[in-house]
Amino acid sequence: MIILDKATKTIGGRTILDRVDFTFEAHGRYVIYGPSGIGKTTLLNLIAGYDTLSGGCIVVQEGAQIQYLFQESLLFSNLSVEENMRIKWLSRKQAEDDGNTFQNRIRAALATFFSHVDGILSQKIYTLSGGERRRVELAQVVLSTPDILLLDEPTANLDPENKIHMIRMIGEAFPKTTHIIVSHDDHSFFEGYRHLKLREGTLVDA
Amino acid sequence: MHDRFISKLIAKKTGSYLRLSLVLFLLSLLLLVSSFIFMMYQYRQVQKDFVDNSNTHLIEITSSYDVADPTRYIPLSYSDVTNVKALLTEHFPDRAQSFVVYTINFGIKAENDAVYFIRGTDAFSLKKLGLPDLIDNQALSAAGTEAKRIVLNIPVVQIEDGGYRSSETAAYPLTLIPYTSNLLMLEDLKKHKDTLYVNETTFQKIFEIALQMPWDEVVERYDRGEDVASQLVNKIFVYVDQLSDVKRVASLLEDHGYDLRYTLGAFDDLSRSINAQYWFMGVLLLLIYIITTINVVMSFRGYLRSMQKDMGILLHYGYTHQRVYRIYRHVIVHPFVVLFLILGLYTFVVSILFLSDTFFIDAPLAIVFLFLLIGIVMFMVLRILRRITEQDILYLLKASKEME
Repeated sequence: MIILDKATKTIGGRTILDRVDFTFEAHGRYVIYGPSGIGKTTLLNLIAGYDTLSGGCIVVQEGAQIQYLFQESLLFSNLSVEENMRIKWLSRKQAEDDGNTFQNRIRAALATFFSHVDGILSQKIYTLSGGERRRVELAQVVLSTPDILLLDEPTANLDPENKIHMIRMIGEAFPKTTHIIVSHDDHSFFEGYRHLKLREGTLVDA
Repeated sequence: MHDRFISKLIAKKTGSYLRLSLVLFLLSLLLLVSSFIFMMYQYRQVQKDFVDNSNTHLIEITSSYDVADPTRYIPLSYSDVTNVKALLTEHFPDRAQSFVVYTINFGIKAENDAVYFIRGTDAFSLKKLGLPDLIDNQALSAAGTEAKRIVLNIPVVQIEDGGYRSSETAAYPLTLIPYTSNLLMLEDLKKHKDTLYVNETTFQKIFEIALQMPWDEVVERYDRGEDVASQLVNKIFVYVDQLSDVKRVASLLEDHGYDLRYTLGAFDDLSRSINAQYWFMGVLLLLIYIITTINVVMSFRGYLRSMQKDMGILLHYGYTHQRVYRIYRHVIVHPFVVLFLILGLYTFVVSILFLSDTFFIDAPLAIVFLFLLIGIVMFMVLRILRRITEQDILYLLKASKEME
């Protein structure tokens, strides 16, 4: 559960979020819409703890594991998929690196989003398409088994068919996770999601 | 261990410009270390030839003169020995010491028909100037290469009406120790093969036999200006511990009416030019070091700034700021360690070749110098890294766009 309590963010004298009160329920699925520059990404940054509030507070359930995917790909482009997965895996404090455990876990994670894991493991990130990169990032998130998943434009630059496919994969890969997605896409792509709108610094149902 | 693995993966991204800067840094350090070793070599040579050379520490008092009338030459007397000692004790206590070279004016015939001229000096000079430790009845001689025993026939002299008469001789055995030296004090030993140097006790014994009177009486008569068949005090030498004091000691003695001869004056210009050369080389090397340091530090700074996004990604993946610092510290320290090993090996080899005499002192010194040169640059780069990795994640992810 995430509680926004009069969450306020001001940047350079401009109020981006103005005393937002809202509660994201545990295991709930939310899509936030709104025109560009309205503060959707800022809200995700604040929930992820990447940015600080100017006023109010955000309360996140204690011990909750948050994973955040930016709109742009955050992968090491000169390294292979396997190396990127390994770096993510080793970010865990107690990461086991005995070969089998790691191999089994990344294969399982990648298999959630790719039909041919063997073919993708050794590929350099810069050879992958935007959609494939997004799937590698999602596979990295699977390694962390998050409680809360923040996604910034996960379907940007995908054709409609792939958008539907991507949203379905996300839903299946993280069934018990709270989803908060920022998007400009049509409501129809997000079945089963609560649709919210960020308007004049407040969060309301769309 | 995991951090090292990640460091290796990240190090793959090292740019060619950074590598080129490191090569340039290696070359300039090679130049600096070579120059440092050469300067050490030159310094040791100067120490050996100049600073540690006893001649440069010696002042020879050849005679005295009347201060009111500098043209009036006065031979040295035993009272001058006392006077010089008193002057040195007063103005340069424990920093300058005097000693005497006694002489007998006439030659003494030995049983082998050779004639020898005897000089005597005290134990202090023998010890201070590194001469062989002469025991009684031994003499230094530049003739021959092996020790040999001779017997002097010392004439028993009687002084009558301003002349000398000798009707008998006394046998006196001496062991000759072959010795040559470039010491100013021993120049007559080198030039004249018939000169012998004995210690003070032996000299006194020979004199007592020749004049048939105790040494104290000889000294007393000599200082009264009576004829004792010799200019007893031939020369007085002053040994000055520090070269920087030599000129001051010389001025003091000259002010008190002594004629001097000393070699430091000749070395003075050389010393000044060597010092100027050291300064010039030092400043030049410092400039080279500063320029290459700036180059390599700026290259690393550029590299680290281009890595900001990767650092942000690591933070995004869940790595702490401290872990990100450690990962990139490995990336930075590794090339410096390689540089240090290459240059350390080079320093070791060059030190063996050029500083073999002082290898165990100078090689560690050169290695420490090298360590400092590399350490300073590495420290500066690590400071930059620390500053960058302490930035917040959004800054690292977004500020890096300017680098792309």
